[in-house]
Amino acid sequence: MAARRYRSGNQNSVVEKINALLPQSQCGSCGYPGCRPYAQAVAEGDAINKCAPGGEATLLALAELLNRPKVSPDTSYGITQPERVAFIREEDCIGCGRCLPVCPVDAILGAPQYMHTVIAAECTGCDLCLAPCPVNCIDMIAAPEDEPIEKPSGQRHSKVSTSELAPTTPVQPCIRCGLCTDVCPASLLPGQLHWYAQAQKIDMLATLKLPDCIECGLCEHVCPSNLPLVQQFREAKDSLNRHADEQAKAARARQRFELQQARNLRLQETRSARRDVRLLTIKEEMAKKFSASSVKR
Amino acid sequence: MQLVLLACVPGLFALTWFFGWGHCINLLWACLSAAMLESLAVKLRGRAVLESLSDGSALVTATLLALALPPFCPWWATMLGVGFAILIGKQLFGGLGHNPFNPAMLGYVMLLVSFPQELSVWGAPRGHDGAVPPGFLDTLGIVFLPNQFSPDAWSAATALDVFKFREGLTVSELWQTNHSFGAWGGAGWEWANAAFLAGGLWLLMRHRIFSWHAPLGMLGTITLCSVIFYDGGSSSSLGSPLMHLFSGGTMLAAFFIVTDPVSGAASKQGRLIFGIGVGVLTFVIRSFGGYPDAIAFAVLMMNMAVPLIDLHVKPRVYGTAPKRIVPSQSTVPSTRQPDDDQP
Repeated sequence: MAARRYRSGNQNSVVEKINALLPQSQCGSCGYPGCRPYAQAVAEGDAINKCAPGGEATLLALAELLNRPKVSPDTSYGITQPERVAFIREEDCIGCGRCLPVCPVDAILGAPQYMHTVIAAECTGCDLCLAPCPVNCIDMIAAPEDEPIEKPSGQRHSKVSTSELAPTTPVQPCIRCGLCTDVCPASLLPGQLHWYAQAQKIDMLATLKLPDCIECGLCEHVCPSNLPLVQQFREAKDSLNRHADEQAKAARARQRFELQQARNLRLQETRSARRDVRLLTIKEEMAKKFSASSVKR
Repeated sequence: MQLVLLACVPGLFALTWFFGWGHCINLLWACLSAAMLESLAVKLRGRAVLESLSDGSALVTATLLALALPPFCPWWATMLGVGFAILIGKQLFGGLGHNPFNPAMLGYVMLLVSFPQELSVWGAPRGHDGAVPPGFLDTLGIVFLPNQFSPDAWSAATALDVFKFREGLTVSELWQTNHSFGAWGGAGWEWANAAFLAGGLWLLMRHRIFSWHAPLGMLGTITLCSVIFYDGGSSSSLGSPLMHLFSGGTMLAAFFIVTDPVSGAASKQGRLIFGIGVGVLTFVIRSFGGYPDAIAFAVLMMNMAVPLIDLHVKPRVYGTAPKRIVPSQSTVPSTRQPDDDQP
């Protein structure tokens, strides 16, 4: 309960939204002691072009969020560098520990008289550790390519590692080779289904029994043109369902209309029958009255 | 594709042995023209040239056309045929996979109808009467310089042609007097057909690149028709089963033309019907029509019928009861359960 009470600010506030766009390097280049104070200042009206590590991207995002004019980055607060991390040259490091308290994100691992090293995954490249080092053993190097996706602290180095993904294969048009038809375990005709799905011919898809497709993916696996058949068939099944729903709805509407027509007709006939009966009664009464009056005279 | 080309090699050997270098020269020239014309067409369509050529389909079309054309066919006719096949038969419809007709057969029919004379210069087969096909340079001259070199010294009608227009001879008389006939089919042609049969069976059984339905349908139907109409070899006989199977382009068509998946039917039962249709039409045109060999016309006509076959022939889906499916239905089934709430 205490944690909930002391949670950093209202999640929906403007300051939080601005802070979410900042790179969280906590470097202080903007003149404020961290990203959140800067966010607060921006919310109160300070210029949005002071963040050097964020660069053009952050500037545009802030301009979009706050509906302010897009200005160019203010280079007096620093130049946007490509992403870099600090690297301690271990042969020169004397273990003095002066870099440890300076790092805003606590990315340097070490203790006095022990070897220091920078946790590259946590380093935001703010350059603050360079100044205190008495032996100049810290270099700024280019950020390594393969970084973990999950970062406990900020969002800055959230590059997705793509080295483990399989290369995408280009999709080419169907060449009607028939391999898909040979492998389908449900004895369907995936080639035909593909052509009809492309042409959106719903009735032919139903005739070819598309709902019986078990989406096993064998047809897609053997296809030499790398067609995304399973995805296409799923979409086609959705079209089929929508079409069936529309038809059912139309049938119901037609039925309701016809019933209503019949009902109105019945009502009209009842009314006119009643009117006729009433008219007849009135006529008789009138006739009686006139004949009575004529008799009176 | 490479396997298909490889399977044509025995047939090519047989044809070259019996009819000379004409087929080889035509093949190389056709492949060259095909590569050039396909590159041109693909470039005009704005697509990657190397990708489109690398699937080898243009080369297969050129090879099949060259094997179907006579050995002394002039170079411009071959080129015209290949051009028509590739540009109009394939690229105009959208490239590989989109053509409704078999491009090789389309090219052949166009040439046959437009240039009947050039397409009837067949060679006399190497045979018992001492006939020898022309040498390499002679054939080059005939093919590429048709005005200067004439193939008359070596040309003869094909076996089917002789058979069709035999004017009252019985079959056995014909066999004895005419040198166009070998042991059971046309001389030379029977070996070529046997070689294509071997190549086709190799593709079918060893590599399974097509199913047996279309070839069996076609060959079975031709056999059946010729058996039904067999009258013991009289002067009006329509040909024995062996004669039909081993003359002309029967085996080439059975294993290399009707098995084309693009212009053939989608389902296996459909392919069987396609093969049967080709067989029937081949027999009918050969026997009662104007052309001695009718495979190309039969194939094109069945290509036209393929959409109809695909509409009505649908294999039974696994797990469903075997009953006929009517194509046009008033209510479209869906994967949802029918809802019971009434309005």
